[in-house]
Amino acid sequence: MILHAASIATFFVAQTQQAQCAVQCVQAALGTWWDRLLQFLPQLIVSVIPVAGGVWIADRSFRKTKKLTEESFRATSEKDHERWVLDQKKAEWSQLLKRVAEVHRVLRVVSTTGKERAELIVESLKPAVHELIIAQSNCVFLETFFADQERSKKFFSFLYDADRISDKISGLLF
Amino acid sequence: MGQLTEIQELTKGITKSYFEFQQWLRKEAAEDLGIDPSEKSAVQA
Repeated sequence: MILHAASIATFFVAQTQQAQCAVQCVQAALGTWWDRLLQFLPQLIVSVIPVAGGVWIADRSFRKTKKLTEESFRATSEKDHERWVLDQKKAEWSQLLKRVAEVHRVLRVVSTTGKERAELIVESLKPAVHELIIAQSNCVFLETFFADQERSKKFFSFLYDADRISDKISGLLF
Repeated sequence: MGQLTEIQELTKGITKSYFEFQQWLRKEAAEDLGIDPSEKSAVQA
């Protein structure tokens, strides 16, 4: 019986010693991993930071360049568009003034006598005025000008007067 | 004779109106195109 108790006690002591050894081994293994990480970390930092920094700078530079390019493109497009609108306006004004000059040609028939001149005016003034109205109708880019009530009124009142006077002269002639 | 005088007056009147109209329109065109009035040739047909 005493022998049995002694053998049990021996067994427990042996087990306890083995457990202590296992704990110590795990602690040692953990310590080694942590030490290695601590040793590796500065190397990691030293090698990763410049790369990350480079990537960040490149990305920033790319974004900035992209933004500048987009802004420049937009500004150029707007400028081109403004120039194009101005060219269209110029073309429409040119057509309009050409038609106005046609009215001038009709009214400035000085080489004829009074009656002949009057006949020529009656014959040509209405068509010239009509052409001027057509030219005005074709003006898309001069919308701002004709949208102004006062200017529009002044423009059409001349056409109306010319038409009315043509009729009056015609009535006096025939 | 009276009719001819009247025709002459009407012709004179519309001619005067025309010149005023033409001057005004050219001025407006120059203004609209942002051209200095001295650069009138730029808007001439």
